[in-house]
Amino acid sequence: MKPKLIHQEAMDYSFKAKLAFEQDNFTLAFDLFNKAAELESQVADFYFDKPELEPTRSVIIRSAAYLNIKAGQIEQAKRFIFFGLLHSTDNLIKEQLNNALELAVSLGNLNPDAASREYKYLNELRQRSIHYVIEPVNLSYLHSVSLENIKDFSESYLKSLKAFAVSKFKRVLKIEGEFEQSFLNEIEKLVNPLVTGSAYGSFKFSIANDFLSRPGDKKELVEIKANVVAKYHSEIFINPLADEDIEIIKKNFSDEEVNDIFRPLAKIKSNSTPYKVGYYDTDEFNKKFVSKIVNKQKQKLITVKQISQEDIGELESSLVHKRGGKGGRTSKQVIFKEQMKTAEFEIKVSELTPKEANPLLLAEEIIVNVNFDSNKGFTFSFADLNIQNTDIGYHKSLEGFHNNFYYRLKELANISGDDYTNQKDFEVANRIINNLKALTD
Amino acid sequence: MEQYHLDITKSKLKGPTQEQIVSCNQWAATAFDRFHSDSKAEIEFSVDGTITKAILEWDSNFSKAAMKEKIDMANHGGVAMAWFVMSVLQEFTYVEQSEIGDGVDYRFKSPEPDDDDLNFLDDYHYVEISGILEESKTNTLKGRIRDKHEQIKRGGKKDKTSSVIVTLFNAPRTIKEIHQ
Repeated sequence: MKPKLIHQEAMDYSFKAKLAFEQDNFTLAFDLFNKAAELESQVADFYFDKPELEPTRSVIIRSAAYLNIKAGQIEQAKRFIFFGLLHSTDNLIKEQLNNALELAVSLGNLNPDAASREYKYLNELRQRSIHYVIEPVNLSYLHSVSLENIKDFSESYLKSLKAFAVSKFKRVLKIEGEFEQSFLNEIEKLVNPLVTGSAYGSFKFSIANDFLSRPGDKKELVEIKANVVAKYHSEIFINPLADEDIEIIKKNFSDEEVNDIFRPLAKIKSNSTPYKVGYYDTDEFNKKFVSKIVNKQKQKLITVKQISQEDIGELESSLVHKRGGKGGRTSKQVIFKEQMKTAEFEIKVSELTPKEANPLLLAEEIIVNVNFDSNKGFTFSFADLNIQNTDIGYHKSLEGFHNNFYYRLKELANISGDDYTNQKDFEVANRIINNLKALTD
Repeated sequence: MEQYHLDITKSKLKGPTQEQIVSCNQWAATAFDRFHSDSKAEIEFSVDGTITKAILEWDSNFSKAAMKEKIDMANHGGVAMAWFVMSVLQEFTYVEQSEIGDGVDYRFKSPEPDDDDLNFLDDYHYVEISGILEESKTNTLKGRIRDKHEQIKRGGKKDKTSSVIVTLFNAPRTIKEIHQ
């Protein structure tokens, strides 16, 4: 046997298989990968009992494992993976065989054709993936992350990502003003990141958006959807939001777009969020945590719309049937009516008015988040100092928020400046009011 | 100024079939044709710190109907340029390929091992290859070179038997750096 020549023949089939894939000829690609895998398997078998022929033995066994996965021959692939993991001394090859094992286990119950297609799709998605990690701030459950945290992250991330995507689609399609609802529904479908990997510790996961051109998809839309996660990640998610970054954002997006993109993101990046989000930095090859969005940045970014509790009470969806009658009269019947269950908005506060103390003028206007939930009532919160208050009435809740805020400032004024656990809060408080010490008992 | 034709690789490099070399050269030509006219351009080669300029020519007389994906242009075109650098500008006469998860890895040798050599993948020069059509904010030549060095480092190949070769097609520029 001349393993070198058979291996070369296998690699030639593999090359042709890749070209067939690129020309969307899946049947031919599958056939060629099978030929390649069959030949490489013969060569790999030949090396099983020849430990003296390293590194050739390990390289060929890895090659046979991957060619069999690409051909959908999962059981055959496992044979080479297990052998390589037991006998190879090359750490990189072992790491790659471990990845191959994870794939082989996932694809194990599929028929060869389906497994081959699945691998091809997943492999391309993984090449486009962004890698994130969610870690709890408080280590009550050590590094385990709750489903609630994952839900909170994914809801806000998706809202922000989709708002970003809508603004990109609008520009490409040169649409001014509002989209048709049907088109928004279409974008909902197009922008739907897929999980391409996950692991414990704390919670690591990778995501990418679909990249395939499906029937009826416009070419420019496919281009956006294929790269939307990576673009959002670099332009928005990891943006440090320095003054000049905010200026660029305000120039590139309308006020409404900025609100839609950054309000949910501010939730993920708030000081009070019970988890922190990290990502794999491809420039520096290490894990980095995203910076928080603080009051100063919110002030510059978010456009606060003045909404009162009365406005919320009037927000409702209704389905009305109108019918024109004799004499020009129109009859109207309400078929369905639903009041808004939740709402979220911001208010600006420039003065604290605690119930049992004199009003306190703030040196810096703060953006207070107001969350209305029909089950809980109104929650006022200021994440930079982790202050919040909930009550069923708007005014009662706001009053409680002012009191909590005042007493937190007093508490900070009475704590020694050497207390490092409160260092960040000291910095925020000193920025917000001119003379914190004046509140000392 | 030296003048080269991309197809010189066909006579200099063994290992891949002639069909493979032609196919990769066509992808490179498709990538170059996006930015340069008349099937030639002045290219900068930076090989292990030495910078030279040359006129590079290529054959554009083939059907490009199936060569539309930018990512394939950059990948296969990058391979063609790495094969060119290693066999024409350097003295490697043979490249061996093997399958990995997201593509192929490349090991260069000189001279070509005998067909009977059972340990034919021993004693090689390992090369991480990549291509970029044009730079963007998140995809730069410098960044890609750093990325490829990091891949070699993660693989534990820290001696002078490895290189990275990255080509930027619009400039055009090809950089080869020995992994230190």
